[in-house]
Amino acid sequence: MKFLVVDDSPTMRRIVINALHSFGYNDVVEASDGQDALAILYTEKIDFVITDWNMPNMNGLELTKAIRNDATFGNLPVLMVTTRGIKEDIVQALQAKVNNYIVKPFTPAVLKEKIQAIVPNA
Amino acid sequence: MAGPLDNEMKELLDSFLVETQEILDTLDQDLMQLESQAENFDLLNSVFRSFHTIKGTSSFMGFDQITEITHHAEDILNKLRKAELRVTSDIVDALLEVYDWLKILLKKAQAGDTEPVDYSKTMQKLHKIIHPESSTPAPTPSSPPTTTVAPTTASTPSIPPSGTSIVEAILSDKSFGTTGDYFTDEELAMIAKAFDEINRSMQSGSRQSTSAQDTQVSSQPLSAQHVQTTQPSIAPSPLPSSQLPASAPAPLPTTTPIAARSSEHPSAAKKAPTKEAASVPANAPDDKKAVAAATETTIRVDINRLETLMDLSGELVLGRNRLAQVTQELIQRYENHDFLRELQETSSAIDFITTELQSAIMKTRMVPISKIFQKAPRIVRDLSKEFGKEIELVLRGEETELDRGIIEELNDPLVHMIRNSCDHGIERPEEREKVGKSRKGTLILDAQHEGNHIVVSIIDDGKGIDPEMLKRKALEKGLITSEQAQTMTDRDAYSLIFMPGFSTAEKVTSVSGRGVGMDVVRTNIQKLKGIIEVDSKIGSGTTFTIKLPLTLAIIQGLLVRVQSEIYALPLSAVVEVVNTDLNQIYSINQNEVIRIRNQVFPLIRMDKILKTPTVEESLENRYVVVVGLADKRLGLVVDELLGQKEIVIKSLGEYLGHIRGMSGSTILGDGRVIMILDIEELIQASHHTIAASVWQQ
Repeated sequence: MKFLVVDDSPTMRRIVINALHSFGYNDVVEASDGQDALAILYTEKIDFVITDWNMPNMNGLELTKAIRNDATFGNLPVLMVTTRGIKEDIVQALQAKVNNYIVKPFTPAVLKEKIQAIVPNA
Repeated sequence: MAGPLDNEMKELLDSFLVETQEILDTLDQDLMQLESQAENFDLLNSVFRSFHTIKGTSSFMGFDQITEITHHAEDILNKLRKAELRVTSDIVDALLEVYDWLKILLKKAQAGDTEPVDYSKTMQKLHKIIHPESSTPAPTPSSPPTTTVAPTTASTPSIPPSGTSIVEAILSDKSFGTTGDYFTDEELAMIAKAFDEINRSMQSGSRQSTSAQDTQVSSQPLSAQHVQTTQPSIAPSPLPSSQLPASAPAPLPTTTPIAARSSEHPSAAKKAPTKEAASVPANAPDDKKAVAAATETTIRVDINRLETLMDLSGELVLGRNRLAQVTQELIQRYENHDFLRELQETSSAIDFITTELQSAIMKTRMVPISKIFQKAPRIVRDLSKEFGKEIELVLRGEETELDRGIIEELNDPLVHMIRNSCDHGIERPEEREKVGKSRKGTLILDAQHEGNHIVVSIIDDGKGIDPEMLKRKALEKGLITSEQAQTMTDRDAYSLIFMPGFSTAEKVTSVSGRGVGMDVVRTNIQKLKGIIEVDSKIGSGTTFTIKLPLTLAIIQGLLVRVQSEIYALPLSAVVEVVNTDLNQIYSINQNEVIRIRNQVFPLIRMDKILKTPTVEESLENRYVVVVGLADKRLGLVVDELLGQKEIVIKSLGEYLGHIRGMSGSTILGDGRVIMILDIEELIQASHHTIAASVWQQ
């Protein structure tokens, strides 16, 4: 399983990647915003995207929409990381068809659970 | 738990500290820009993101106070983004206060100081902005409100009729989630259901699957719901953990055994693995860490490694100089030998590469001066407010780079001088109008390269400095005698402001007039081997000019001969060189001085001070090198100028220790070791009564 971790904060990426490593997922690439992420998606085969919501250039929501509109990786699982469980956010996330969302701060266990909820055999 | 986890934690903490510092570096500027560009949505978003990121990362690091205060700031920014609030000066004030607290909290985090700060006043301000209607101070929650869940009774979501998509049902239900800020349990249940629906539709290709069973269970409690559609193997989890972290109420009671539930959906369980699992072996090379190539264009490097590189490149410069010299000598001895031509070519190639390498390495330590300049807007803004002044700040040459170490030392003096200009330079609007100036004063910060130096100017169009007033003050304080006051030029009078204990402020304000400021400015500039000059005109303004070497390790030196010995002077300290008739030298109070144009400089005869053996009788015509440090100037009498050379400063080592008047040594191309003169000590000595007599001791 190859993960793509998208966040404009290097610290946040580190946190997520550390957690992924601790689950044994060592194949991880990172991107600092939606545009970077798309560039990677076009060139590498990614199996799972964990993206922050609020990023410069292209945010997580726009990234998800772009993924869903793509012919080759339109069904890619997307887990959205957000800091707030605010209603309109969630409704928007649903609309963009993210697979699930996770609210900061989360524990590694919760992240693992969220991933497995989306890809049971991961 | 020992090693690896600790290391991981330390790494994360470092990452957090660096990243947050970087965010803070630009945040105050952005906030102030926001004040004048309230409609700039990109800017608003960027400020929002800054708080948002700090809030997010700090919550993981356990810095609760940082999380709490940024959370409130984020709320305000969010209201601004949604146009529920408008940017006002009060809001910017409050957000700047948050910025100030963040700086303090970050310092504490860095120092490992866990003692909480009392920022309740700021929190009250923030709360008032967020909830203008409530008069009672905010009960400040210690964790983000996402951990609280509205009572279940609040509203009942409309359950979609059988057979329709839950996602669509939610999206089409205008009233969904309109009560309260956060979802009710029922709404959460539907959302979890909706995400499951999306999952399933993805896993089974594009098929939109919604069975009657799905809708039927959608009203079931969340915990069962959640587990049911995910995976039989995981333990019954609490509610969607994203919504309900640890502190949340326990799962609702009606949990159905997982096995039973999951068996209801054999299709989902079977379908799920296919697509994702199948692709794994095909494309998962077992790289340990694949890092995206395109994302990062900068890396962080330990400063010590850069220092080592710097030292090594210095050694290389010495070797290069030696090589060039030897080559030159060989060519002179064995003219036109083919080998020598090759040697010469190689030597000049190495010469070129060394120079490039050295400047490239130096650049790795270079930081743009914007690091300091960017603090100016905040200072000017706050001071304008405090003093009721109108000041326009102009920044020029922010991209000018100089050595990191120099930037650090330059920070305090520059900040102080900016404050000074705002405080006693620029007048109040009414005063300005009275003398026919525009109400708004202008403060210019300018940085530019000049050869191997950087010149930083602080220019205001304020009332200027009155030299007579300075002299009076200095007299009152007993810093100078009335005799001195009379013979003092305007330029000398300006230098009085750098004297310890001299303050011209009528009353002591919070920003300036403590009487230590300009003295500290001078000390710091001196430490950097820089020069400071004051130029002022009553009524039209004052200009402070600071000239600094670009770097402290490798300098351009002026080689001078004093009798039979060669010395190097840092070129950055050389103000000018004059070829002069020794008859031009006068004596004042037994001190030799020279008049160049309209200025009088104290003189030091280098051969006397250095006690160099006399090999030739003094010529009538000799050179006077005028050197300067901060505001002080001094003329050095030397016998010959030998030219300019790039020199690497070597310390004298422990054996020799400190030799008065020498700041170090360097090695010339021919292998000769020469001393570098310490301008600071020379100037000090010359100001101690009779220079020569002091030196003879």
